[in-house]
Amino acid sequence: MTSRLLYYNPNLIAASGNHGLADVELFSRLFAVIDRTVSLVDRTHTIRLPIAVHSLFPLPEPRPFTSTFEELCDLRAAELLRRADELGATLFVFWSGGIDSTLALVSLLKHATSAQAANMVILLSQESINEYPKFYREHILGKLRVDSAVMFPSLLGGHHLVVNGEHNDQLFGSDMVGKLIVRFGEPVMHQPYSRDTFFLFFDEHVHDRETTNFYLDEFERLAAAAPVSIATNFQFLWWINFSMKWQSVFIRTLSYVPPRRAARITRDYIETNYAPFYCTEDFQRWSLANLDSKIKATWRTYKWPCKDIIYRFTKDADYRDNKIKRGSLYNLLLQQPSYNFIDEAMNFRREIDIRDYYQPDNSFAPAERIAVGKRPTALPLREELAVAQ
Amino acid sequence: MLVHSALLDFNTHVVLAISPRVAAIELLSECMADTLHAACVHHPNYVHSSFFAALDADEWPRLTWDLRERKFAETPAEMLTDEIRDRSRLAAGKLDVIDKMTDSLNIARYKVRTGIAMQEIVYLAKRTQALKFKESQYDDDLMDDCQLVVQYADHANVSLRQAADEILLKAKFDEEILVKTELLRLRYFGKVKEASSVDQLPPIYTEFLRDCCVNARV
Repeated sequence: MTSRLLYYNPNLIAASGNHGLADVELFSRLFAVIDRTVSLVDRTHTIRLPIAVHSLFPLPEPRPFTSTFEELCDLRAAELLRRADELGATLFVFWSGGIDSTLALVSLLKHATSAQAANMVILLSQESINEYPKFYREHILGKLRVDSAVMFPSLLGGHHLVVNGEHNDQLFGSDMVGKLIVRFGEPVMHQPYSRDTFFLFFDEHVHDRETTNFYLDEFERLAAAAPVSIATNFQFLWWINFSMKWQSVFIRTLSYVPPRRAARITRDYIETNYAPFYCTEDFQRWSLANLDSKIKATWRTYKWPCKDIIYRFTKDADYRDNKIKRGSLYNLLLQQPSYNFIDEAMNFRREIDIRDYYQPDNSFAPAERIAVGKRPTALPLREELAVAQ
Repeated sequence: MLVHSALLDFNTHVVLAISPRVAAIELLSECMADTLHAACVHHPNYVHSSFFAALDADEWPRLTWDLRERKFAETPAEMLTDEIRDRSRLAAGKLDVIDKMTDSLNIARYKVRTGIAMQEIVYLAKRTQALKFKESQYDDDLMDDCQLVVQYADHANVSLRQAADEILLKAKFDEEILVKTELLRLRYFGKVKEASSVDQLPPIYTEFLRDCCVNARV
């Protein structure tokens, strides 16, 4: 059986050297629409990729769900504090000053005993302080142990418990919503899903009507596989993010592990010592059950339930009312060498031969597209395809 | 006229590369066997003329440097061998990659620069004082020896202990930016040094760019 990847760097999949495989090329062009940093893995198993991937995170079983977001944050914080105690491990918490990591830290502080607070180390950077100086002054400086987040890779694989604010974007929406708003204005968010709107939005980057239509066909199949009704443009983007980016977000931090520690990143490690705060099934159930609680009418209200919880702790109305989402990790991750591929045996690699992971039975293959009644691609199948098969 | 350096073939003094980036030529001389760094080749005969600065890289080996006269002369045809041309092409390729990687690393380190003269010394003194204060278990009796810490505490309206801790944290931010960029410098300058053909250079630079500029998976 072909080995499967948990994580891949799309930049390398999209490298021109791989374009001898027509379906790989067609897949690669999708990253004109989806950011090239996202290692797409479809948790619904609807869109089959031309590279063999394995999903670690099946969609949670649906069930009636009434917990509030704050209750979930409280439960998660208590569980992580307890886990650190049981492991006898220092609790390292990434704090960027953004909404996600601030809420994670607030939740931990709400529940930490003085001993547990003393066991925490807040990982931050100058950008963290710049992003939320008031919180740094009032809740971190002089009150909590701090350390620089810049060299976080050296923490990976250790005996500590590492917590970050990952996955909240997948619960609440997508950074693509911001781009959609810039292009079409804020009202477009809550309008009924419009293929025409997304055709314009995507084709401005793809520049090929047939290919754009193919991508939309695939994403509409993905939306149809959702356990909830995807009715608006906002929900369409959220669902792509929720169903296809989850694993990428979980693993991307681990891909920066230094070579001497890579062997320590095992399945057991990631289940025990690495804990993105929002990576639980209940957070996902909340997201599925609360489609109307992610954003109001304006971009400033994105993640408003999170900002309300932070406000109740800080009484900082300015942050609640005006803080907008910005990418917080960029400066932290720049200039950090990383692995480009991680397979299901937890082998970390800088390079692979794509043919070792090629999956001919995929949604991007011309035969598949003909079989489901779509127009065949104009891209020629080359000898390599036959060899790979 | 900008100061220029030349990389010479050690035996023949045929020019393999010319550049105003003196450090890059020095590095090239370390990573290409049997070469020599000729510094300030503009002086004294080309102070007002820069013909060599406008040459294409493939024309460099047509020049030979006269060490005694400090002048360029035309390379005799019998010395302009394929081997010399190949070495010059490799030097030009390495020079180009070294220049671009140097620029990228310098940009990455701008966060640590302030542009204010002597500020590095101020930061170093601050760090030294803060560390001394911390290692004394925050002994207030040391205040007279830690004026920069006191100054910062007064300015930021925080305790001396908080000021010292914050100074040390910010010093670590800067240090770690240097540490991560140093790893890139070590890794990729090392690869450029080891490259034995021009063909090996583009993949090295692509990989460098990936790690330095586009690796942030967000």
